[in-house]
Amino acid sequence: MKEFNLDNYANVYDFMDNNEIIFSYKGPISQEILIAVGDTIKTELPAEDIENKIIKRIFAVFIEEAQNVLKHSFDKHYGDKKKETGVGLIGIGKKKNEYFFIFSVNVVQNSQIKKLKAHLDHINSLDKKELKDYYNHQRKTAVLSEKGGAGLGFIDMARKSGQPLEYKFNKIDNDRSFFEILIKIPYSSGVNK
Amino acid sequence: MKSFYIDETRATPKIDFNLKKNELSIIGDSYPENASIFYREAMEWLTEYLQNKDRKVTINLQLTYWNTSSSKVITDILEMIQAYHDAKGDIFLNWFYEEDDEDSFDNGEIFLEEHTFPYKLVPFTI
Repeated sequence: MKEFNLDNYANVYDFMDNNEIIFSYKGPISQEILIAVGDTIKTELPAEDIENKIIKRIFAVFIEEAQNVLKHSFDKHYGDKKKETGVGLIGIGKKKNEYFFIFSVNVVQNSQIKKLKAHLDHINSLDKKELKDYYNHQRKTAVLSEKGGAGLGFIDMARKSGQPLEYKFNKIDNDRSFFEILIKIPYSSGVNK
Repeated sequence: MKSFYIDETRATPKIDFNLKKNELSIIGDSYPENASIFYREAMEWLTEYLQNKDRKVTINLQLTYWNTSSSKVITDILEMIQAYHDAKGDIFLNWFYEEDDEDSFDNGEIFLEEHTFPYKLVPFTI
């Protein structure tokens, strides 16, 4: 860090406010953290004009994004007992009364990008019925990885959203990039039914 | 063989496999970091239990939320139920879904659509 400037913290606050981010967390995303933040979704987001199932979709997408960061971020934190936890940024916002968005950012190795991009583009090319079939196929044929991954996370997010997954890779250096993903959950139900 | 029981936590369900009643229940939220580790002992117990095809088994799956890691385990459990049924075993599944949540109902249909063992979709409210 070049210099310690207190204005920067206010800038982060302002940036979040201006972009309608309700809350966000950056750091090691342990199972304990994601449980606590997940509880916040269940207690703080419900409002009179939001159906329960919308909150459940937001919660589900949040858990999948958070567990992706926990398991797959290339940036690691080692806590007590030397347990390895992925580091990342995750948050939730609301665009007026149109949709909620759940976003995450984590570091990936450049060598992983091609495969990840192909997977995301494939998901985005599918219609609702094809997405369901793909989900079912993966569910039946996948073998859980050592980390407990089923290869279903992004497919499930796309099903919950009913809209394309928005993502971007931002190069850090020759080895690493930031992977950003944003999932929208329409505010009113029926849209992605 | 003894009954198998694990208490519910915030991210993992209650698992209650009652040997005397032949009633096996999984109830609650399921989003452990690694479902294959969390369910390992329960799946080993289930595999051994279902070897005996003379039981009259009832399974209750009442999951309020499950992550994709857990969905793989649920898929495996349904396949074990199917295999028991195919081997002329007496087995019945109660699949619970949340009454006011069509996603929850849809999940039941998606997970069960290709299975031929007897089951019932049972509504519940939290």
